[in-house]
Amino acid sequence: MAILGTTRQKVVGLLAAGFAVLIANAMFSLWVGSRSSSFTSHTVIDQALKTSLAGLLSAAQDAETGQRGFLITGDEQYLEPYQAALTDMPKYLGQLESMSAQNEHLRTRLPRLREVADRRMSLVTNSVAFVRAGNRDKALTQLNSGLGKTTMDELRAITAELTALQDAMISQGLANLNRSESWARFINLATLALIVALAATTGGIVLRFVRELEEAQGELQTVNAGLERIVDERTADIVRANEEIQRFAYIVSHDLRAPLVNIMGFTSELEAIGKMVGRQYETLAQRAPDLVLPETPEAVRDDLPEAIGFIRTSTAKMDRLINAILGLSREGRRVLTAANVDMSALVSGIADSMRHQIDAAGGTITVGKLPAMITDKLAIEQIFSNLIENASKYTDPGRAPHIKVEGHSEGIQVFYSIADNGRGIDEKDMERVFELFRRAGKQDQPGEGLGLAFVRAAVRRLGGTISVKSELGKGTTFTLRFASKLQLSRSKTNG
Amino acid sequence: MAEPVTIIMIEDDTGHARLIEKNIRRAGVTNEIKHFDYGGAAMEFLVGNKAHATPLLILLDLNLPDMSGTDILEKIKADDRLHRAPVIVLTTTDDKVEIQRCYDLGCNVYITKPVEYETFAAAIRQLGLFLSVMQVPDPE
Repeated sequence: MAILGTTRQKVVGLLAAGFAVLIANAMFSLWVGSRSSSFTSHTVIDQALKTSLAGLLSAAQDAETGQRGFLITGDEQYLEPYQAALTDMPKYLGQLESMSAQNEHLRTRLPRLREVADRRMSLVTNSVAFVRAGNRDKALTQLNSGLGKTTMDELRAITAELTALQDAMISQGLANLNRSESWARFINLATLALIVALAATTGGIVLRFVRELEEAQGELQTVNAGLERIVDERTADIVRANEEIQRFAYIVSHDLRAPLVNIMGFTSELEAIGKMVGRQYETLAQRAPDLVLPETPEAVRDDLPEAIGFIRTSTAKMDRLINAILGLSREGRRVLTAANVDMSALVSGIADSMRHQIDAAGGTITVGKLPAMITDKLAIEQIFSNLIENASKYTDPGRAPHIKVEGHSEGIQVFYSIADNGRGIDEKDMERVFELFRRAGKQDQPGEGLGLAFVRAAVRRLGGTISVKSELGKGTTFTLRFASKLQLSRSKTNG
Repeated sequence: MAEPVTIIMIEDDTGHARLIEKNIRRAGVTNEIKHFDYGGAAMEFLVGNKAHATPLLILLDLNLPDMSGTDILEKIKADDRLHRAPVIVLTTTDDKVEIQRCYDLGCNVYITKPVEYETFAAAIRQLGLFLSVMQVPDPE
């Protein structure tokens, strides 16, 4: 997780850096673009300015040309350029006026330009007026005075100055534009290099991360395979150990049986002999009482049958115990078969078989809806029979027995509980009750102490667990837990 | 048994051997009963060089200290002279696989010793009655 965290941070950081670079580049490009567009609008204005200036100058020259022609010939026809200049001049001046707001050079020089232009035009107008009035000499005098030339030169100087200033401004702007364009190129290249570097680094990190992930996955698979093998080995070990215990129990019970057969057999033989001796003694006592020893009557009539009686009850008990062990080991060796078991129906059947006895005690037994499971039907039936029988057997004499069987499922597990209001189990006996031949509480019921030992062995064999909750004098609840589907071990259990 | 058949009893538990013999006798069987405690001694007698004068009937216990009863059964059934001799397996084991194995190997009767002595005694007496009417082939 640590690797994952730092890699994620790195990748996110690098991507953020990449985006930041791209955004900065875009902003820079916008700035450069705005600069170049403002320059373009400048050059357009400059062009208009130059045109207007040139127009102004040419209008002034046209007026002069017209004036001279008229002066020489007196023909009104020559005044045509002058007439045009009269309208053109204010037009160009108006254009320049409108441009002066954005152009400082023009703004400062425009009044003088207007004054010179007006002066020039009024000179021409005066001269034309002199000619029209027939005062040709006066017009010539004015021409010769050189005033016209001076104003014309003045006009030319101003326009030339303005044009030069404009050109300088344009070349300055062009240089600026070139500089910012080369900056833009540099910045674009730098951005490209940065993006490529970032992409390469990010790609490298992601690639390394993917490789690490793949390696981790490979390791995980190896570990998993190892784990499965370990689990398999452990399971095999447990199955083997269990088989060994079963075989041990079987052999022990078998081998104990052989001498027991002898004890019982020869006890029977002894009994038969005892009876024969008894008959012999009776005959002797009748026919020759004086031959009978004083201790013989008691020995023959009481001691011998008593001794044989004790041997018989002891061997009978031993036989029952050995049979119990044999039964347990036989059940443990029985091959389980998994089948779908309708638990509600199965437990209801058991409850019905015990209902008569419970009804007689004034009690009840209720079976709730139990989840079905796939298991060995015989084993699960024996488990529930034992538990329900116990519940109906170890009752509290002070109250009617009420037994409740319930169940529910959780995922792949199923739970069943058998609750009674019986006499309960003392806390110190909770574990003991599951032990073979051990019993708890008042020994007022017949039994060998086998039931719960058998139940626990069977539950374990079905892969389940059994737990008990009890309060002395209140009641007991046994809870069973199983996987809803019985997993049969692969090994066979024939010892 | 009309023929003077000899009963070979291979049984390591002398108590069992004695009880079996007593109960067979009570069924009225008077044939000679030869008892062997060990499988080795029994095999020496059975497959030894000496030819058997009388037909044999073998009572065999499977749990012997020196060798397994099924091995003895296998050897008897593989022996040219003995393979027709009836073998009655009389043992405490009631394992299904073991029973099948014995019949596969050619055992004629398989009897599980009952733990209850009275039933055991009755079973042996009935075996005695069974033996008294049973035909045993002559030795080869």
